[in-house]
Parts: sequence; C-alpha cells; structure tokens
Amino acid sequence: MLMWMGLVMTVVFYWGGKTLYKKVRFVLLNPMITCLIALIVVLLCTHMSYSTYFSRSKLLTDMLNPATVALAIPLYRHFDVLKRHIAEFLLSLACGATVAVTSSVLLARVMRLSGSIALSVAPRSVTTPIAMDISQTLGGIPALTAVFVIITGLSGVILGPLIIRVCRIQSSVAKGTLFGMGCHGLGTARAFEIGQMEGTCASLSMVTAAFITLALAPVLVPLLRA
Amino acid sequence: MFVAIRSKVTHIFGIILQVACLFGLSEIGTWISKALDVPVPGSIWGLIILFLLLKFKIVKLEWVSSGGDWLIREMLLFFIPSSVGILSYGNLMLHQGIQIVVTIVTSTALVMLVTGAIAETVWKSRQRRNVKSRYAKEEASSC
Repeated sequence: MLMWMGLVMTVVFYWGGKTLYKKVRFVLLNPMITCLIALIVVLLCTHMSYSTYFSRSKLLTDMLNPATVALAIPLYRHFDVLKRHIAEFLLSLACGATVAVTSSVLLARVMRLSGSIALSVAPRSVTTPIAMDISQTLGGIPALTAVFVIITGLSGVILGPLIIRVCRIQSSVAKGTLFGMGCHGLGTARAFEIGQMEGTCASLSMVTAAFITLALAPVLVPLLRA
Repeated sequence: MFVAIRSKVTHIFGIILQVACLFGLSEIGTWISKALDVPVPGSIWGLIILFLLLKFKIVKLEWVSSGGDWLIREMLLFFIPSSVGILSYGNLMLHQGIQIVVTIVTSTALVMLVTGAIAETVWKSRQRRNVKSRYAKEEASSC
C-alpha cells in the first residue's frame, strides 16, 4: 500500500486541482501549480524525502515517453495544415530559439547568477531530456536545468494566455508556436486545451525548437559569455 | 446496463493496451538512440517511427488514437513528480530563487512574444495575399 502512496496522492491532488480549475478558471490556480504546492506541503509535513516520493510515483514519469510518442497522432492528423504553414514555423522558431538562449544568458548576467547556474539556464526553453543534454555540453548542471525547465513551463503556462490576449493573436499557428517554443511539453499540454490545431502546432514547435536549440546553443553561448 | 458496462470495460482495456504499445515504441526509440549515439532522446525517435508507420498506412489511426489521445490529454500529470524536484534545491532557491525566477519569467515572456508576433505577422501577410489573389481571379472571371 505504502508503495503506491506517492502515485495515488499525485493523481488525487491532480484530479482535485483540475476540478477546482474547471470551477474557478483563475490562471494562478492552474492544476499543475495547486497540485505541486499540495504535494510539497504533504512531503514536508510527513518528512518523506523527494527520492522516496519520486521512486514511488515513477510510473507517472515513465508515461512521459509514450506521451511524447503519441504526439505523432495529432501530427499525422493535421500534417497538411502544418505543411501549408511551414514559413510561419521556421521563421518564428528560429527567432524564438535565438531569443531564448540570448535573453537567458544576458539576464543571468544582469541578475548576477554564478557561471554554472547561468549555463544551466540557457537551454531551459526546450523539452527536459534535450535541455539536460545541452546543459551537459555547455558545462552546466543537468539536474538544475531540469528544475529550470519546469519553472519555464509553469511561467509559460500562466504567461501564454495573457500574451495571446494582450497581443490579440488570432491564428492557431501563432498560438501553438508560442506555447511550443516558449514552454515545451507543459505549453503543448496547455495548447491542447485551446484546440487540436493549436496543440499540434505546439507539439511540432516543441520538437523543432529542441533541434534548433541543440545546434544553436553550443555556438551562441560561448560567444555571449566572451 | 450490463452491455454499457461491458463496452466501457472494453474501452478502458483498449486504452491500456494502446498505451502499452506506445510505451513499446518509446523503448525501441531509446534502444535506437543508444545504438546511434546521437543526442536525440528515445521518445523523439519513437514519435518519428509512429508518424512514419501512420503515414505509410502500416498502422491504422484507430489502433493507437484512443490511448494516445488520453496520454496527451493528461500530459500535465506526468510532469508533476519531476516538478516536485524543486524541493531538492530548496537552499539555492532560498538564496537566489528570486533572481532565477525573474530571469526565467522575463526570458520566457520575451520568447513567447517574439515567436507569437512573428508567426502571426507571417500568417496575416499570407492571408492578405490569398485574399488579393482570390479577388484578382474573381475580377478576371467577371470581365
């Protein structure tokens, strides 16, 4: 029974957070955030270590891989639409990836973050496994990058809808790309809440952004830090 | 009533089976990623394989769609255990947390603004061109 506690707790809190969010629709009450806070409070109160919790809820983390594979399904369903908008994708993603790496490194310098932290921040806008890989190449701390990727995801999930409203963005392609480029998998999940097309654009952007950053970061980061 | 329950059970069983298949594909992807030694994670290889299988009609969409759609719908849940990892960096977050969060939030906002604005501009200009060419065609045909 104890073995399954972490898993059950996570699912119950997530489900509760989702129900709450459906009722109030307030951005800061995003199910991801409420569930995260509830879990951290429970772990701190019961003195359960993070590694114990993580190993007991590993089944959920393992699901991320098949979920990424499943992104092929919307990609297949909407492939001709994506082919039609190839210009939007490539142009906006190339600029987005450049802004992501450049602004991270420069802002880290302004904020006086130490060297290894700054290097761990640089690849934060792409999906976790690739971000950790880039972090390793740059000389950052991969585990720390994983945390920054999550903070990016959370902030993007909150900022995204605001940016769409303020900039009056209308096209599904632009909505999808800004989520996929800005905050990877979390953004993709959020974009699927807006619509199938937005979600598909986001998942395609997430994958493309990861490859662009993979090629770009090792060249750009040393230049920026010189 | 009994039939309804039975169809529901079959549906859930179908989802589980499909998720297992997708899991298998990601495992194959991981194996490829190890064998080729390129920095592309296994799940992305799995995505490419599944897309090609669908594209060349080797796998039918119905074989994977209900399980796949369920995985995508609940994707946020799967990120939660790793997110709790912030807990292990409590000390760093206590000392430099504000600077780190300000850096990440500002940068993310910039990235989203730039990406969204460029995609929207290209989309709009292309739409205008499409409308124009449609008008041109209509005028030509009316003459």
